[in-house]
Amino acid sequence: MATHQHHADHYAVEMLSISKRFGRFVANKDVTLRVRRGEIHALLGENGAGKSTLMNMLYGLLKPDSGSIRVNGSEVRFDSPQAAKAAGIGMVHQHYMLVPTLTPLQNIILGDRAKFVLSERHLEQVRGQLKDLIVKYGLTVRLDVPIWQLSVGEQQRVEILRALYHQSTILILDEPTAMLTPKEVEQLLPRLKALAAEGTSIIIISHHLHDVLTIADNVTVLRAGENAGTLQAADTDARSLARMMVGHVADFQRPADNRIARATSGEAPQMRLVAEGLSAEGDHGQNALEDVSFELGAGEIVAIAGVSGNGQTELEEVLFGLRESTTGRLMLSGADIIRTDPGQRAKAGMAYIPSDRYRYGLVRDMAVSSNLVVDRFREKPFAHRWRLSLDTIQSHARDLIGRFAIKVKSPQQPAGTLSGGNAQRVVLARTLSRDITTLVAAQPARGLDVGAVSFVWEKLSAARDNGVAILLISTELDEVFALADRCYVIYRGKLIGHWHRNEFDREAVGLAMGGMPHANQSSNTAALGAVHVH
Amino acid sequence: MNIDFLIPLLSMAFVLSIPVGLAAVGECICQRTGLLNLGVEGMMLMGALTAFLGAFYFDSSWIGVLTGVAGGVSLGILMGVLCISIKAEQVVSGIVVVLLSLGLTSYLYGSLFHVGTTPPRIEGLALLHIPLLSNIPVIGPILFQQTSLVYASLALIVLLSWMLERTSLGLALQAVGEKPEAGDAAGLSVDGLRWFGILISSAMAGLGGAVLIIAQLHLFADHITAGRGWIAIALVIFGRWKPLWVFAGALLFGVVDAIQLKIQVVAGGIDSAIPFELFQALPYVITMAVLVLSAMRARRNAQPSALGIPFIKGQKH
Amino acid sequence: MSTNLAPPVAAAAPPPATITRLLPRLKAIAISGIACAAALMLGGLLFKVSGVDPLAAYATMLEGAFGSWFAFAQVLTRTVPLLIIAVGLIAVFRANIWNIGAEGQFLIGALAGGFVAIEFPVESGWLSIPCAMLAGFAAGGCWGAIVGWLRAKWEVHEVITSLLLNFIAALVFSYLIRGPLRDPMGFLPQSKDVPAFSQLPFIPGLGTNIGLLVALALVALFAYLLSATPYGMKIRMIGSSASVARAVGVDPSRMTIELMVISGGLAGLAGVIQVLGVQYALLEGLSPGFGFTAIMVALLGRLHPVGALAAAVVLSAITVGGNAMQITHGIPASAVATLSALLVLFLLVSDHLAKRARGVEQ
Repeated sequence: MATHQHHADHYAVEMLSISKRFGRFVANKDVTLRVRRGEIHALLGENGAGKSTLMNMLYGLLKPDSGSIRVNGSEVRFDSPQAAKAAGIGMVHQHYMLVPTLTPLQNIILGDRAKFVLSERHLEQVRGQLKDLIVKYGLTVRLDVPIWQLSVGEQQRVEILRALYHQSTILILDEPTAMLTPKEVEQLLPRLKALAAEGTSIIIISHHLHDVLTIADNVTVLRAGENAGTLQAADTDARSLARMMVGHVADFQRPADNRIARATSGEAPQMRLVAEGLSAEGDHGQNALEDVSFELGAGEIVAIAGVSGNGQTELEEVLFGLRESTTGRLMLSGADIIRTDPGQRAKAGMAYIPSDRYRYGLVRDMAVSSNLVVDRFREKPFAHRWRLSLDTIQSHARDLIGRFAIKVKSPQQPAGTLSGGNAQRVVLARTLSRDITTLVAAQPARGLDVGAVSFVWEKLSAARDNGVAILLISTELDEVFALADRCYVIYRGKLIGHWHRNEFDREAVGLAMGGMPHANQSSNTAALGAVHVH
Repeated sequence: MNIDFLIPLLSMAFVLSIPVGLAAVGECICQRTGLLNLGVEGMMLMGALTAFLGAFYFDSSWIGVLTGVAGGVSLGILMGVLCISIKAEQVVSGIVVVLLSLGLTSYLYGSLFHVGTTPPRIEGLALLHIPLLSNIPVIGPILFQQTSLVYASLALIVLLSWMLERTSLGLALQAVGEKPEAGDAAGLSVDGLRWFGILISSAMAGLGGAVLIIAQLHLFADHITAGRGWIAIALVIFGRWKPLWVFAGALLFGVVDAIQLKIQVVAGGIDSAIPFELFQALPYVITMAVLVLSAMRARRNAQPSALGIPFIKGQKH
Repeated sequence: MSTNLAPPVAAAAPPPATITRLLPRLKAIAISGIACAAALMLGGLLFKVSGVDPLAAYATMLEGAFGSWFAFAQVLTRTVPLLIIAVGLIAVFRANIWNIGAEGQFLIGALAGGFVAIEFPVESGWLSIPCAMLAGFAAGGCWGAIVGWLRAKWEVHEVITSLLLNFIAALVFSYLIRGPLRDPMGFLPQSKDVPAFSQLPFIPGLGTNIGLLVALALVALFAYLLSATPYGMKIRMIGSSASVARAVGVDPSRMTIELMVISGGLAGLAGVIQVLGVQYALLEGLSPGFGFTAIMVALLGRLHPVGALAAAVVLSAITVGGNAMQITHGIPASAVATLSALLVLFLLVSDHLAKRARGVEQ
């Protein structure tokens, strides 16, 4: 008992020898994690390394198979997030758990059963308490504006504010920097430091090495469900953390750079897709895209980098004919296609990898074999007049399943039951097995594990080398730098900044993603940028 | 048009709007929780029958009101089991509930009262004149010389609207209809709140059926609700999911319904040159028109985002 | 929303072993069987409550439906409109469009087709019958198209519009047979009789008209259409995911209207067949709720045309048998509607419970 008392002085959270299985899959194996009061502790690992599972157990969403959890020295068994909350644990999810139509104030008091009637007096009292917290921690939030009108950064502050309002002393932040601009990240980090200085323990789930190193006191690395080591942030560096994460340093070797070679040989590329002054409205009628212009040539990958939520979804939809543009032209191999529908664009040689696989890519309830032909089942050889050629569809599916190493029980398996990586392989297989000239690839590697990412990248590079023009819309700078011949940055619906591969610079592009194109960058408008191609 | 004609017309319109208004406001609350209850017509019809039976056998209008509510709720429980407990398709469940109610009410009524003779009737409620207010010219006779049931219904509608906008329960109901996973994360029981929604909706539909029988028609016949439940659903869309606007829509319906009834009477019987079917069709045609008009002004922003989607914990949508 | 009642999407080619393919089918049939038994038991309880021995009631029902060739012919005659409407409903339901306006589409189709047949200028069945059917299909299709167009254009919920149009159609029908189309010589408010040359001939030896052949042909046609044609694939696609369909160049708006025309048209065709083959006039009570019963047929048949064939025969049989039950035991005719709804309800429940059980296994 005495030692427990002793622990209580030191540790806010102790997770001891935690194991968790899902069926035969071991998500966590004998993981131990200790977090002191006032400590910022980073939990690092790849997708699927078991970070979320571990935190979900701390937050009461899952129960461990074995091992014990102690909070402030006493052993706890949470059977719901409410129990965890009552013990002072707050969680900020990566996808914020806020109701878009309600205000921050309403979201914060949501689920509070203390007062049934929400009188003005009660609300004013809560507002006062929140304002105090806002001032104390510099978490600027407009309390009475519906969530959907707030920026991603402000929404995140609402989440943190909510946890503080509920008197959480232990904060779990799931990928807190993933959706933020570099500038917002810069603002967030000192606030977290300030919170820690006041005695709050913070656990950050992340795979951003840089952020982890700047802010965390200690880092625990998970690999394949096991604790690969806990280190002091001051004693380590990005490279060794990366090695611990993956077991080896995975570097994508970019295939020989034909495009640049061709450009230097003076051969002008053939223009495939040219956007001129495209504008479009978002779902709430806001200006989601403004005057977007770019040029894309055969055999090159041009990236549109940017933090998510800056108009990428709308751009994607406009390019594929799923959203109307208010102004502008879109030329495909010289013909204006802006008023055509997706079917006509596909016939003209355009293809598309959607960022949301199940919204625009795959029909969940249909078989993989059917999903592999959804864009061409009306054409030969898959249909003869009014009849589907089921045998051809089947052999086509077997062929692609082999070539793209799609793991399925049978071609009849519904696409909705596939893992993220396999689902993306189906989309890729369908898209790249067709005769296409132009490809719009939005977040092609989102949510995939390392092996799947390099598979996707290799396939895209190969398509580029075969002369396909590829527009890559990506929020991951690593991906942009690995694949692109040129890149633009999209910020608040506008293209700002343009770089050629030999000018790629993490800092400059990163700043532009935060809305600050570098001062001495000459080609900081899209229109000018496009000229550089020639 | 002179005022002597207008006052009884509007007074009648007011009464006619209550059954459909009750059902519509209940449906509105239910839809705000994300549950699309297409069974309202069935619940209203069941409420109408059980209200009739209660009032007939116990010789009491108020017992009739209670049995009417209970009748609606019995189908509400069925709908809840289908849509919330076993996560069945909401549209199909609603249609099945209506079809079941159409058959069952007719069967029960038919086996209890052997049809052929004059249909049995129940006593109506006395009009309750509110002191002072009922003496106000024009408004008095329209609003303040009604049955107590009408006043109670009005109070209920206002209470529910207040509950939705001004209490923590109302906030919770809105949250699970808009983003259930966020409500779940905030410690709300999504299924529990949706159960609350369907029970309120079915109780209100049952009450609507009861008011229809007890305050207006005093008898039961097969499919006596004649589509009022469906009109109630249309009114929810018209009112953009705001209870008081929904009720305003119901008042509009009441006016249309009163006009068509009056014209039928004035234009006179079967032999009239003017086809009375034309007027009978009026409420449905106007409802269609109103539905289309409200849909034309971008209804997406007002509709609860999670409407019609079953909530399964831990599953992304 | 997905069509949960739909069978798993048809496999695109013969799987390795027939057993593995048949097993889920057998399971589905077993589940339906259990659901039916449960519904019949609950129905029996209802009879018991109103003082009738359930076993005797069901025996009367069976006897009434299959006891004689005459009774069976009645069952077949009733199967025809249900099946024709249901086949059209299956096409729209598969596409996740919930048309519950078949009742109105049936009446409008009957009006148009009946009018053509009654007023046909040339005395030739070879001409008048196809023309009447075409007119009925077109009119029902137009009535359905309103619903489809409103949903495609402004996302007006098809369940509500199609239902409201039922009431309007019924009133239009009622007005026309009391007014402009009324037979001035007749005693009841109904139209003139369909001339003999336009009446549908009987199938020799079966005691029912050739509408049955039309219905069977439609079952075969739609079974093929849904499983083995690009159009069927488009239907299934917009039913599962309209957004993906749009992204690969299938226009869900256009499909919605087309399918509503098909579904409304078939309901209209059923109306014409009822006028030309059974009632021989436009009269009140032309449809004893065929449009609604057909929804149950489609659902009970698990949104498959062949399944609907079985379901239509079953529901027709309990209706015809139900008449016998009414005469013998004094059970109201609406017992049949209740029983049918209970069948659908139990099937819905058992389907979902089975689905959940599968989910747990995985």
